[in-house]
Amino acid sequence: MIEVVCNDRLGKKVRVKCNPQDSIGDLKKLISAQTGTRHDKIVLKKWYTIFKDHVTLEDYEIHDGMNLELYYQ
Amino acid sequence: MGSSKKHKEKSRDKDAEDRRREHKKHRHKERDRDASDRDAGRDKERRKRSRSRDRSGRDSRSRGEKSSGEPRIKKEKNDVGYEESNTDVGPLSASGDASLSVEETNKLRAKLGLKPLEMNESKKELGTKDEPILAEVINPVVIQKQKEMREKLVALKEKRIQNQKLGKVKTMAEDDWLDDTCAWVEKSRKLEKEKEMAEKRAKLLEEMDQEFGVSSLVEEEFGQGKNTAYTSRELKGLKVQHKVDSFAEGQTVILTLEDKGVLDEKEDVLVNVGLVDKEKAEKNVELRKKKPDYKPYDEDESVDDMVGFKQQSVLSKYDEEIDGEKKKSFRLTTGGMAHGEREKELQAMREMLRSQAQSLEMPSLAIASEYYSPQEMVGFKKTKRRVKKIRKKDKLTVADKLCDDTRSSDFGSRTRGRGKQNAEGGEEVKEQDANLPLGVPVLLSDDIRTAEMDISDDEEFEAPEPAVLEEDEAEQELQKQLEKQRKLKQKQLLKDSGEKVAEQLKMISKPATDNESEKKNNIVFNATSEFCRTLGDIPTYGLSGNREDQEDIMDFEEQEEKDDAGDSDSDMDENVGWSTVNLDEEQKSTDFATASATILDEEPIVNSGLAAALLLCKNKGLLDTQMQKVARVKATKGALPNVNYCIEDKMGFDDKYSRREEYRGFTQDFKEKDSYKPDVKIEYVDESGRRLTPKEAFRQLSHRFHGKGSGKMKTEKRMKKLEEEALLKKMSSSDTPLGTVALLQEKQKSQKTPYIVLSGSGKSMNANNITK
Repeated sequence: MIEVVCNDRLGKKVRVKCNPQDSIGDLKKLISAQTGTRHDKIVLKKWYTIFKDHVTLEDYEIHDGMNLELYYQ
Repeated sequence: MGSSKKHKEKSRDKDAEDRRREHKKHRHKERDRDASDRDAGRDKERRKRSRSRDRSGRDSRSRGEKSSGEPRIKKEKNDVGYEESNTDVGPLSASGDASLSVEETNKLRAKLGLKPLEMNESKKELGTKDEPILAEVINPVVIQKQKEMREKLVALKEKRIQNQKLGKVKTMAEDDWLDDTCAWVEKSRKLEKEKEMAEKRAKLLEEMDQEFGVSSLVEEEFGQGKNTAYTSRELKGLKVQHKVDSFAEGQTVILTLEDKGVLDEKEDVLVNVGLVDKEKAEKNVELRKKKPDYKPYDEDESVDDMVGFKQQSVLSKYDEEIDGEKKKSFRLTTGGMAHGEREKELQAMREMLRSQAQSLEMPSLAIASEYYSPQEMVGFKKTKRRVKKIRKKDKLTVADKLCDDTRSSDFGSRTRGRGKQNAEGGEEVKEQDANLPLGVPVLLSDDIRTAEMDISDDEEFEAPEPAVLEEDEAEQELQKQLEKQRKLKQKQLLKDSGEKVAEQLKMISKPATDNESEKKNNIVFNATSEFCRTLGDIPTYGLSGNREDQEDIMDFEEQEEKDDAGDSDSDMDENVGWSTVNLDEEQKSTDFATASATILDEEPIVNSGLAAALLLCKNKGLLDTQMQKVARVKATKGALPNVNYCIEDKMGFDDKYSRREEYRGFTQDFKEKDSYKPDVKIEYVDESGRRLTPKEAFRQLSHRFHGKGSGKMKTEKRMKKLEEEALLKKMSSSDTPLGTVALLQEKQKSQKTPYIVLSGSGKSMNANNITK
């Protein structure tokens, strides 16, 4: 289990527990469950990389406690 | 690398903290539902350890967790039902970020269809530098053993499963009914019984059928069912995928069922292979024609569409490609017949509509001619002038007869119509007519009316009111005047009673005469005539009785006037504003003109006639036209010199009245004067009475408008020019300006010769020289 912090810098900051084997899409679903935004409207970013839904956190080398940028589309 | 390590450590720390938090939560929940002793103990232990922040403790904890990971998760799974009431939104931590507990997350994950969180990630963790973890020794022998064991286990498992599967099937030996004869016998008996029962039931039903008399019907039906021959009866409702027209009468066409997929749910359709081919070929030909797709001015709305109620779709040419080809088909009716009645009906309707249709084509435009063509002349009828028939009564009363021959002075249209019918009671009516206001339109022409008024042949003549038509006040005055007159007359009648008696006697003897006289006294006023009459009529001013102080005098005057009626006639002529043409004067002027012409030597033009002579005079400025006279009068009065209305036959305007008329205009149109179109000439004259050309007139006008005339030089120049012109006009046409002709004539007279001798040398013929 890892925990990632997703922050849109507009007042929403969530800590999400997830498995490294989870895909970004799953993570988005978890985020949406916590924040209340629809998962398909969420964009996750680290610097200029937009994470794609079908790729796992492992493959993106997202580790425990990492900060992800949360955007909305 | 260093940074990643640091990060890892940090994350681990965070991890530991989180876990602690989680466990606290756990503890709360667990306390609520009587946590097991073991858990509680472990919790306590963990707390203690965390407090001491002992690495080893942490290690052991992780190890412990590893061991207890599975059951824990399972337990959480059991809790799902309990915790479902919890809200999804996680509690906010101190830093403000929301996070869910592991259970909650797991619950959520279960809902999302994800596998639960792995809590044994610490297993992966390798020992740090400080606390190296002993890596497990890889023993190939053990691995081999394990492998073998696993294979064995798998094989056993498979065997077991297969046994289970096959165990359900009974083998031949296992079948019990072969073994047990008794059972078999029973079974067979049961079957027999069942058979018997079924038969019985069938019989019963049959009997019932017979009872109700249905059996025959049923039999029939079944019998038919047996009759398997396919007749034309069965063809009813079948669809034929061709046009009705494609089947000619008396021709045999074999139709077959169209090919279709076995699973297709479509209904059966009859086709003929030959016809299908033919249609295809036709279509190909159509396509090859290459008709233009786009016809912008095509007549869309044909009669056929109206009959068929075809809806016009957009880009209908693509319909076939989108929806697939629409084949024309018809259905067979009973007995496999098809009449195409509907088609025939449609055709009839179409024809009917076509016959009813109206073309919108207009007759081609032709140049309009001013004359009727002979064809048109046939249609042209000359409007015949209607001869008004005077209605004649068969019976004429005495009064009527008397009334007939005397021409009444009343020409009111109303009285004319009904005059004869109510001759007896007509007095009042006629009186009313006399009182009618000026505005009443009268059909008679003005000339006659004025003549009627001027000629006063009656002994009871009253001076016709030279009333001025001046809107209401004038009208009212007139009314007043008329009333006064009437009263006076009545008074007079009362005065001389003797006369009255005589008159009464007369009236008894012939009452009609009175009517007559009364009629003659009436004056009918007409708006137009009055207006024309009063044009330039100053003397009437006093007479019309505009002033109150004159009224009394007026009465007497009128009485007096009655006596000398004949005199008033001539007076009136003077008063009335008609300018009569004075023939004598004209004659005189012409005489003068001719005389003046004769003074001079005769000119050839004069021979041609009087008109020519007059023209000459005019040219020479000898003859003053009337226009100039008028202008001169105006100039002296100081009125505007230029404007002068000249309506052909009427001149001599009264300045004051004409101006007033100008301002007021006419409030009512002269309906009876519709056809009257005056010939209006607007002419301008200058101070000297010379007629101005339009250009000059305009110059004058503009000078007045701008308040600024032309300069001194220009005026002088113009004056000079004018003088020259005048001189030129005055110049004798028969003589040179130096009077040589006169000298010549003198010379001839003295010499008494019809000639003079012109000599070249001055010596010999000095006396005869013309030069002075």
